[in-house]
Amino acid sequence: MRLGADLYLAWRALVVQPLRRIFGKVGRGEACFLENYGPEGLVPTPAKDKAMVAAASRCISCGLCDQIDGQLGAISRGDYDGVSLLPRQYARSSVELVHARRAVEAIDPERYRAAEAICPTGVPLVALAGWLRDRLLRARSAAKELPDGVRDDARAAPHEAGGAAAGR
Amino acid sequence: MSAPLSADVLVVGAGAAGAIAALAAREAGASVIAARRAWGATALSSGAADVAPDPLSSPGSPLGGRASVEACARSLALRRPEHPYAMLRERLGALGEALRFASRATGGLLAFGDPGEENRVLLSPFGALKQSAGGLRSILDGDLLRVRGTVGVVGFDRPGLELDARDLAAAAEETCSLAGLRLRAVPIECDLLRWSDLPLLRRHEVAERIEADPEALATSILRALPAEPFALLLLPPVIARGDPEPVLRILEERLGVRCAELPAGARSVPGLRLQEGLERRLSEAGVRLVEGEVFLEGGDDAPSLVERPRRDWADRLRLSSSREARGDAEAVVVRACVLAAGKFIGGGVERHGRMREPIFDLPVWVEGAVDEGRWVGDSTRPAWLERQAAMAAGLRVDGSLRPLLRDGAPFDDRVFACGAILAGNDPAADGAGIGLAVFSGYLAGREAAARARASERGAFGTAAEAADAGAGAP
Repeated sequence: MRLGADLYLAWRALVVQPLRRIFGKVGRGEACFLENYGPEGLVPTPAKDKAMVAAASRCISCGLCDQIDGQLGAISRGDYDGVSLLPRQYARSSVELVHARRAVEAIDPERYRAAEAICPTGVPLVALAGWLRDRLLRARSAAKELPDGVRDDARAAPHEAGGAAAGR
Repeated sequence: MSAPLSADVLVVGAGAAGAIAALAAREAGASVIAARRAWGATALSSGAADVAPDPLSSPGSPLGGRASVEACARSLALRRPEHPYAMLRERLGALGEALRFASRATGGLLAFGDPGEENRVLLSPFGALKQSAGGLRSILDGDLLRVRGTVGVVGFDRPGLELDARDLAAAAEETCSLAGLRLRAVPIECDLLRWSDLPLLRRHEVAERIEADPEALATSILRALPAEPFALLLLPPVIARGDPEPVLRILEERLGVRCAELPAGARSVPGLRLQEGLERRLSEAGVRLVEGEVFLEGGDDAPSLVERPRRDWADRLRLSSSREARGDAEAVVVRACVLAAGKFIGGGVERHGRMREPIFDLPVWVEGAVDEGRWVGDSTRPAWLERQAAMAAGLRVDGSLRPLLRDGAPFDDRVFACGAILAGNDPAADGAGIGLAVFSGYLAGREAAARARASERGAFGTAAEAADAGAGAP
């Protein structure tokens, strides 16, 4: 059984894949990445994204920003429970960002100026909010570029399948 | 670059230590700029201000020997030679003066008792007894030493907001019994949050709602209040986002019982009140409060294993809105500088390979030695009740609050440090947080003002020397 599996892998690696590369059946780079992972909401992470994730990781969960969050009463509490969610959860993974899309689409980055000014570790909340909106767009457009049959599954965010609280 | 900011004294940080230093320097006649990057540990504090706990207190005897506040501080200095109180041993006689100044200069926002008396005893949000020399008045009113009879512990019947009132009352009775305090604690679970949209709200939002309608809380408590006489009602520390006194007075009038707040745990509303109140007082006292990060232009931020103190700082001080915006920084021209930016949260101490003080690159001491990049695991312990060396890291100072270099010499006669940035104090383990900030802030502010004045006259020396020389030190 093991021998059969090894032979199959060798056949794929040594014959099938080289032939597919030669005849252009395999995507490369970002297109290939998006084809494989786009439906899951995973998008490439360029240097700018890495810098923003690093800035978000400075959050120490002290909660001070939540206490002067200009939008805490403006968005339904079922969707959004404070600006500290941006660095603590939303910035972590674009896969999970789709769960919080109602909150991310509703936030107004400019209303985080006061909260940003009192953050002890200097998390750039305004820029982070703008970046999250952009990242969500990218994640959703990656899903939209798929063939019709796949697109429907990918666009149905888990949030619509009862996962509204999953982003919190 | 715009016109420079100029003053006699620059205070870096505007938490408890920075605010008191700025107010002390201001009272001594200096013009003061207080620069804060953001809110820090003061905004996260419980609302109590502890100077030092009783040296004999233990879990089995929570109040220990019930020594005076000053004796507790002196004992801490004796037991912990690295502690700032030990460095300032000769000046501990000024503790009462510093605490009185803090009460006066903050307009009663922070209240302290006489250091010749014993600590107040407060019920912590976790049911332990907390010894505290002072704090916000609404919290100090809950001093259990002044209570005879039954204490009502009010809960809002909402998990997660504070500890359950029944658990808290049971813990209070047990710890008070161990401490020899005869009082009975009764839980009072009111339904304020049960039948409304309030259950989803955060602490500060609950506080805003209660402040807007204290009558609703009074009515809710009245419904739950057992028919027996109470000497004191202890409320969760969410009764007001602003001034809690009007809410307490309304409650007392409606309920006919003295009311007070418990000290807060994490996500502290009283901490916010304290921070905002201190900033208000700074503005009222004529201190120029600016937001931003202080740095030295041309300073080398490249990591190095050994500190390189920047002695030629006077012409290179700058203030920028953030680290990324240093190109648009303003020049800051001052005669003296007080470092009061706290430790890790406030940014007074950073760790990049080694622990460092980011403005002047002064040596940071951990367990009696300058940190040269030892593994952080060597400075921490797995059990949280053990002493955490990293939490006591900071600047070592002399008796005039001047930071010391590796060889024991003061870095600069014009630079002082106070508060949590000082080495040897772990606020959580030592029970000397805001009290130490107030004491050291008061001394540092006066020293800086005296130094600025001496510098103006071309003289040199500490506050004491300046006073001796008739240089006008307060």
